Amino acid sequence: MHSLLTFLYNYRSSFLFIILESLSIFFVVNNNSYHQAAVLNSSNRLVASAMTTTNSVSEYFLLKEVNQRLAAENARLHELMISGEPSNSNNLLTRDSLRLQALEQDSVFLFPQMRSKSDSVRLKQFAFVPAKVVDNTVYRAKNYVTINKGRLDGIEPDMGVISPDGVVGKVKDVSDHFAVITSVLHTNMYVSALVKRSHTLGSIVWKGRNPRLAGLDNIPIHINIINGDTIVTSGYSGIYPPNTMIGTVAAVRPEEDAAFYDIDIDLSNDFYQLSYVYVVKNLLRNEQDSLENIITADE
Amino acid sequence: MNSRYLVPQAINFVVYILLQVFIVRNLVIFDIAFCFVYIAFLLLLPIEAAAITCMLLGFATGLAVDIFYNTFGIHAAACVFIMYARRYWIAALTPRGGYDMGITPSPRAMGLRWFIVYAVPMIFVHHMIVFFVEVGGFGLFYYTFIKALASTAFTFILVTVIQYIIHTPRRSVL
Repeated sequence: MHSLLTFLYNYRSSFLFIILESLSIFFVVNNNSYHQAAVLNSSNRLVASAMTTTNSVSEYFLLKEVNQRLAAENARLHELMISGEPSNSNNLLTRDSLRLQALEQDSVFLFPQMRSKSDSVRLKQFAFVPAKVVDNTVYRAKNYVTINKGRLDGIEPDMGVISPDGVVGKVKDVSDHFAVITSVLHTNMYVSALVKRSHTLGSIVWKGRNPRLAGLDNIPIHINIINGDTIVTSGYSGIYPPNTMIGTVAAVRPEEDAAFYDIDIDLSNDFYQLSYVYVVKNLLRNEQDSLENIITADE
Repeated sequence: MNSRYLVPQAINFVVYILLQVFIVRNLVIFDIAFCFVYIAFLLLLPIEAAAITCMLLGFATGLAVDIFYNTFGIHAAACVFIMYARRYWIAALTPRGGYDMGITPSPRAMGLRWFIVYAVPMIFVHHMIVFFVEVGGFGLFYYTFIKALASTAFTFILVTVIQYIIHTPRRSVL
């Protein structure tokens, strides 16, 4: 017993080293895969308020840019309101235009009494909570965005986040007043995407280098895809509204002997200048999830 | 480390963490060179500080920075590692005649050449751990390696410049 204690004492710093390193690695693994209690990241109130303070200084330098963006978005929404029909597929109100058209054709002409219910539910499927970006990084392999809305504003983990220009990411952790978002610029973040022209399903994943480019995986080589093709969200997961802009194809490299293309996407969102975003609440999410869970349970 | 060091080191800790998370966090050169100036606090702990104290301080410092970087555990792991390696490294670099009592391993006290040999490998190892753990593998090896190299230069320059700007009398407790 005495020799054991002596042994432990002699190597105490090595033991402490092993314990602290294991603890750190445990934290790293946990942080990457699970939601935490939101105390130990930038959604922490103290940390986030400190960031808000520093951000409010740098904000002044971006004011002009932000104003222009908001004005442009306003103009687009105005135009939409007046014309009453989608002038641009990438806007917040007419995401479901195809479906609505189909509904209209079927129900209005054939079953006028059915229109109101289904339509109004669809139109209200997505609610948007505007939020201000408090902190944002683009240069790391795993980037996060911190926003100034949290649990008390109805934000929950796994909600989607978009900006007027496109997809931003997915809520990771929330505290009462702040939320941390896993940015699209995160090497473990996948976004289910559609090539708009051919309706081919793929998935967007960032490659960890250029904040303006992302990769598009799983597009089989028999699909015709060209530079400039628009890539939008599929909406299958219920996180983002369908048809939200992600970007355009910047380069297509057919890999030899491979079943899939190697595609670069020019992200439509300028992550360098992210200032205001919308958190997407899918009001039909529970319905979709429970329905899909029944199917998976059956298998 | 006795209580004589406690107050100045506590001030150092707070100042370096604040400097890191509020100012240096936003400094990125050419999209690849980052600066983790806070490790100056760990590098400049007194030479006779016990390894256990150093590791615990490294762990605490790392976690404090991690909270602001949303990289929970990564900086802690890197700091604990360099703090564990530190005493062996300091022992290997012992100048002829040994170290004076109560000396800090700073460029002013030990000379710039000694400091380069002491600090650059420590900073480099720390940055390699930080960047490779963050990427989660060796997938982007070349790019990540360049990032670590550029960041090492950036961090080292800032750490050294701060040491020369802040005028503390030679061999002070700071």
